[in-house]
Amino acid sequence: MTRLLRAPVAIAAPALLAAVVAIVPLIYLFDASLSRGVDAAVREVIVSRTTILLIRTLLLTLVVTAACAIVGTINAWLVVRSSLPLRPVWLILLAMPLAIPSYLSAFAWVSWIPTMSGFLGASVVLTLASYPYVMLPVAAMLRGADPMLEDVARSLGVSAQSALVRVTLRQVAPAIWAGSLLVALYVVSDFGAVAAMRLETFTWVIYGAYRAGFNPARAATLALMLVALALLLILLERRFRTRVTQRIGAGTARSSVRRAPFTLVAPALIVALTSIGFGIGVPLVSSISWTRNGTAITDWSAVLETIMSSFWIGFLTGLATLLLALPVGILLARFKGHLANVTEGAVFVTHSLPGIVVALSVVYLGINLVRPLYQQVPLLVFGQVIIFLPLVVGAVRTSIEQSRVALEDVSRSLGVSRMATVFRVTIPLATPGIAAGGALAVLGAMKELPTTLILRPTSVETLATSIWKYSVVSDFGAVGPYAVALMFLAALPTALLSHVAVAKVAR
Amino acid sequence: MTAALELVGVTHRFGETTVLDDVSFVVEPGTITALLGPSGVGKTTLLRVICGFETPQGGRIVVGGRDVARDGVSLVAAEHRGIGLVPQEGALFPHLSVANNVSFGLKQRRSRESRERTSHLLDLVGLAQCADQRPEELSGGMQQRVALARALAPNPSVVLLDEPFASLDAALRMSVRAEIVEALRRSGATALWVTHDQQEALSCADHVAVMLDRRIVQRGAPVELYRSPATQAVAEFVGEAVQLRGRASGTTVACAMGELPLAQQVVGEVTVIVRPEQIELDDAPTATSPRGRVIASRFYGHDGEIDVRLPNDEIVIARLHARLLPTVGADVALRVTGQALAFA
Repeated sequence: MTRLLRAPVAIAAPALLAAVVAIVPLIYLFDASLSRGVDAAVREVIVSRTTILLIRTLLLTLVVTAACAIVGTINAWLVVRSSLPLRPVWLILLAMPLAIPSYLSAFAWVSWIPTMSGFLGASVVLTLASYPYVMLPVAAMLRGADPMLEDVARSLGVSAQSALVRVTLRQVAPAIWAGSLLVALYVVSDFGAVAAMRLETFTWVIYGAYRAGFNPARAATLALMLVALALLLILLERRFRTRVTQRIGAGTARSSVRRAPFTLVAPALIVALTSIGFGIGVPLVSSISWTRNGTAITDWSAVLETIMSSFWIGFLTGLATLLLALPVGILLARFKGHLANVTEGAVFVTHSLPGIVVALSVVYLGINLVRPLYQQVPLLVFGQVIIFLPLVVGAVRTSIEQSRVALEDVSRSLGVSRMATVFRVTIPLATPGIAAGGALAVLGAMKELPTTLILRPTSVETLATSIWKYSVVSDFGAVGPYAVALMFLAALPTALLSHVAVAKVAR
Repeated sequence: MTAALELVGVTHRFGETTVLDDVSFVVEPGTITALLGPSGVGKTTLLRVICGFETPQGGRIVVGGRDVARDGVSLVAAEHRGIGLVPQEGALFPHLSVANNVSFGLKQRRSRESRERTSHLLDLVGLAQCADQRPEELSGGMQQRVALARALAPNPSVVLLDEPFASLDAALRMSVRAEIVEALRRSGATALWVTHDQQEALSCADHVAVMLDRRIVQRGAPVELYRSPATQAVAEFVGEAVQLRGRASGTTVACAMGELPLAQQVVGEVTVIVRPEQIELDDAPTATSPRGRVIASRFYGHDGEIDVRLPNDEIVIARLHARLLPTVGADVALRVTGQALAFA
């Protein structure tokens, strides 16, 4: 049922603020890109090196997204539908690459096999870092998908293998598409891994153009192209996304676990073991061995101080993002109208803004409008909020959409006002989604590199910037403690995230 | 006496589609009124309009003597209307205990009065022992009773029940229905009960408002509605109806079942309606008795039905005592007791 009610001010006002926040970077991009005139901007787009850059970025995105779709789906099937023992543990282990920043993996690989650097290395590292983006939604959807359909297919004389492809894979196709979009957006906007692998893609070139300092217009124009590319990906996914099919009639809930034949489980198990071994094994073992070799020179008080600042920035970002995402999520899930459309559009566009682009625009904002805040923590948090807002809004919104509107109606019929209903009904029911959203933002903020590099106060080092600082000069002995600390710190929200993502469908 | 709820010419549209068309009816205090209509006729929209979740484009809604909506303007917000709601499938708050569900709408929920009110209501619906349980631990019927207790707690002017038993299986539905009616009667509450189940409406309510095609077509006591439906559509919807072609001449009508007395004066070509329980086997047939061949027989246990094809190919249904059911293919003589209905 459509709800054409107007949103109360307490929801509308912060949602509008979020929309404005989300749009700020774009204003800068257009302004900076056109600062040398339209002709210069157009020339920048059509030069051949830009074309090569575009092709390389697209190819990398394609390869990594396809690989993630396959690896993520196989792993999801293994943890939800096979009769493998200890499946919850497998799920968390398989989700753990989310806790490891791509640049750290990349440095671990390069220091292990130096010849890996380049396209191959970037593909491998990005696949291992981002297949959980496919695995988690697919696992959640598999959990909720009706296992009876597969049984029906079998009873119609279809083999287990083809039932898997013809029925189950179709059931979870929307989740595969949605997850693949996240991967593609991640690849397009990733800065750390490609930089570590010395692969010239958009993000690295943009960073270079900014660092060199002489050509902000080129950086901004390339950034705009990157945004356009990301928007195209989002539209593409919308075009191809299939409708979610629902089971007709309630029936009795049955376990979705099936005793899959060995011929299916064995290859899946190999994929899972490879994902875990290379995805978390390589960076973890490298970091620990670096630490052991470099302990003599480690300044532990500096490490501790860095952990604290990472923790604080992560916490502040998580809190600020949630505070903005909550009203937006409620607005998008429960209200219709111009405000909801505008806000959705703004958040939608933000999803296509790579971290490096956000960083550059916030720098511009800082220098031009709020000079005292430039390279201060509030502005850093502001930048990170823009980056993580769409993901967190997504988590909150889905969670609210899944709870019944009837409950809110009942609350109001019992004399409870709309705002009080939000606090007494809507938010408590959406707790899993809100927790997942918070975990996403905290996790993201702790791993995030380009924005932190550019916007952090000069005196503050986070775990991410420390890893980067020592890695680029190949001082891996110094990287070790920071890398280990970051992985352990990030493991917690990752575990929470994977648990919530898959558990919420089980209800 | 002020009506607990009154609707005057309420009209509502979603875009171009009219969902409610000039809906008017009254619910008297302390009574149960059933709003009876087939699915998709606008019943749930009507409830939402009364509750205040939608604002009707026209007409007036009066709750306890106070206008809450008039001429396309909502005058009182949903939370201030004093209308209790028992939605489909109960919709208990899954994050709260049974007692906290019931006390949800009370002011000062931790006060002694609130706790007393909560336990009083749980007593009323017979669930005092379940106060600390979680909603998911209760059966569907128990959840419905908690939902009723929750709706009654703030002492609403009227309680709206939206197809409250749609999700329960048939056996359970009967007993839960009886318990809910009992609880409503004991609390003295006024209720508007939306249902598509005519048996439920006829057996539970003091008054039935029949809603067909976006409007209220008749309102009255269950017996009145069944015996003298205002239109053919009502006659067909409320209870089973056997239809025959006929020619009425004032107080009687001639049809394939013979010359039947009419409940109301009609003249001309008509559709004759009799109820299956009015048709009996004629154990002492005369030459003029209508006859036919049994083409189907349905055994229900306590009673049964047969379909009989008359010589002019019209088919009538007769409801009979189970032990009287003839076999398929038998030729039978029939008679009609009581008055028939006729609609031009």
